[in-house]
Amino acid sequence: MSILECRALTKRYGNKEALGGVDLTLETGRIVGLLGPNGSGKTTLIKLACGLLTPTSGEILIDGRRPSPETNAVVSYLPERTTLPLWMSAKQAMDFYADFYADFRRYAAEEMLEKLHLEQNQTIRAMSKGMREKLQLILTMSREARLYLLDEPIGGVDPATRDYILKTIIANYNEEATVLISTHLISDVEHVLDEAIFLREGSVMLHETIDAIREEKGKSVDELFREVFAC
Amino acid sequence: MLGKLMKHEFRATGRAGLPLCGVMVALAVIAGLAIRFLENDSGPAFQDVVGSLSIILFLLSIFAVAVGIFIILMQSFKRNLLGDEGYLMRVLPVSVHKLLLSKLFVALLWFVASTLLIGLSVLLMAAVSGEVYVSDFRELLQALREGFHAIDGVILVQILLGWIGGMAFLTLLFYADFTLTQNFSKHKVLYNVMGVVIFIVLLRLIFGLNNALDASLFRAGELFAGEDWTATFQAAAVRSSWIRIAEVYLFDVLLYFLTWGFLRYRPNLE
Amino acid sequence: MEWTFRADAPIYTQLCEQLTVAVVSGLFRPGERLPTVRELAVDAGVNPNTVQRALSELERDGLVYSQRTTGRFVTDDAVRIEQERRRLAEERAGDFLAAMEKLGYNRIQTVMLLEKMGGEEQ
Repeated sequence: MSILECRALTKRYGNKEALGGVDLTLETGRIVGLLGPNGSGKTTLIKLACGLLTPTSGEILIDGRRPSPETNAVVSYLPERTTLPLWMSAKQAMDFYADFYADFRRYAAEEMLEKLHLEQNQTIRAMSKGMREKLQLILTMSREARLYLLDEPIGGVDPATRDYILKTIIANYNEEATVLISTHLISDVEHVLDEAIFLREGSVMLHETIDAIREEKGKSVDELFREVFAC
Repeated sequence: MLGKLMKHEFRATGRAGLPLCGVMVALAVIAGLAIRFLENDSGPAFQDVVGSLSIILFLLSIFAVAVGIFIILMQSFKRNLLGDEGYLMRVLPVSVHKLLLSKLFVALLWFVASTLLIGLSVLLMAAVSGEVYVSDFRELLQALREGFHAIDGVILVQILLGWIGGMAFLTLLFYADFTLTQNFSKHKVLYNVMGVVIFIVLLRLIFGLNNALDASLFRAGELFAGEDWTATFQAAAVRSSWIRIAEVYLFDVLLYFLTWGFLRYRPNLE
Repeated sequence: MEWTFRADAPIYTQLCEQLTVAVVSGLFRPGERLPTVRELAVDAGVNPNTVQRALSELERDGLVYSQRTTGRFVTDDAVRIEQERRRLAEERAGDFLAAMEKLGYNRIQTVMLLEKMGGEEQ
């Protein structure tokens, strides 16, 4: 059973079509890149998978079921923006996750907090943007979920942190889970990916393994992307 | 899960709510002290001013608590479910019902608690001021107890239910408004005005209906009354109160499901 | 271990090659236990599935063997390793000669240059 499936998935906002007739299947045990320029529908797709949006038509299924509290229990979502209440401290945020998510591994989170030099008692309000992103990432990856949806996880952080984040994703890998990374920083993540999905203006242009792309096209996914999406 | 959500909501709202209440209690004590030590005819004029000022401040703080608690609770709903925090809350493994109910229950508990606290603060001020003596309190309690015994238990229940239903109504009205207008971000003002108009029309309709109902109940009572006029009157009043309470709760349920429906099926977070 | 990846070839083939070089150069000794898939993946910054694929290739090539519960080991077969060293050397040499040809050096000139450089070093 595939962990994520889209069937003719369409989402319209008034006249604008954010996603049009997307057919997609993601199997377990993969790290997949959702690649496309801004406005191509990446965030829309992820929000649909979380149940934050409802489809205009078509279906999206998590482990064969429509997005619901039950699917939310196995989906770990990292949003692009800061969504934790600003008054919370890092410790309180961990308490929150521990309260609501049975699959939250607190010891792992505390370890990562320490490694990334974050104070447990510091409030999110007092943290810089980079620190907030690190915290949210730690919380997201400390869950033992079946589907991780990371919306631009490395966009706003420095290169050293970027490396750490990617290493964490690799170290976290398990065959029962799938990680979907939405990003436009392709060269950084390419080595970590199994598959790449090119999304353009709400449609899937390409869905291949990294190896296949390199073998067939003789160039990296980053290079192919630049070609395909040249301005 | 509902308990955890409520705990979280208390924490979020208590940060502003508790200090606000604390200020009121502090001002109660200060006002009481001011009355005790400053409100005497012999001292300099400015003492009177300070005394009066502290009483005024205390009264203002009561107003601030009454209004402020409501604002805090409504803000919390808006921010937590419809703002950026919504990205966190709405992907939790809990149903929208639990999210909504946790907010509603916490709001109601806050309203009841703050009301009681206001009452207690006034008593506190009176006690501290020394103008009121322990014997006065005892008399007050006695009077209250006798009063409660005099009132029929049914009426007490009605008052309680009506109070809760009314608070829920106001709360859910705001919840529904926030949730619906979030979907129509283009014409917020227009929809709000329309909503108010519809609301007023509905109110007048129901008001008129209630009056008609009361009148007919009364007439019916008259016809079958016989001698005991007051009993019939009371019975009619109780009956119509039940109907009114039922109406409020009906509205509550409607507003609740309206809010729930939009939260569930038209999330549309920005 | 230092890892470098080119853009035009699949990563698993490049992993294969770099691991082979490591074995041939003695970084991983014959019979030595290799790091786990996860450890290699984190070290190289690549997908674990890719590492798995590379190791499977190496197994197929006979440079590495796996024992169910204990992990993967470099082969004890010194002859095999020597074979691989030879193959890689010939490959490198071939690449070098081709590169020199591009510069306009023929075989004899290239050999003379090498001898000269070798002499200078001593």
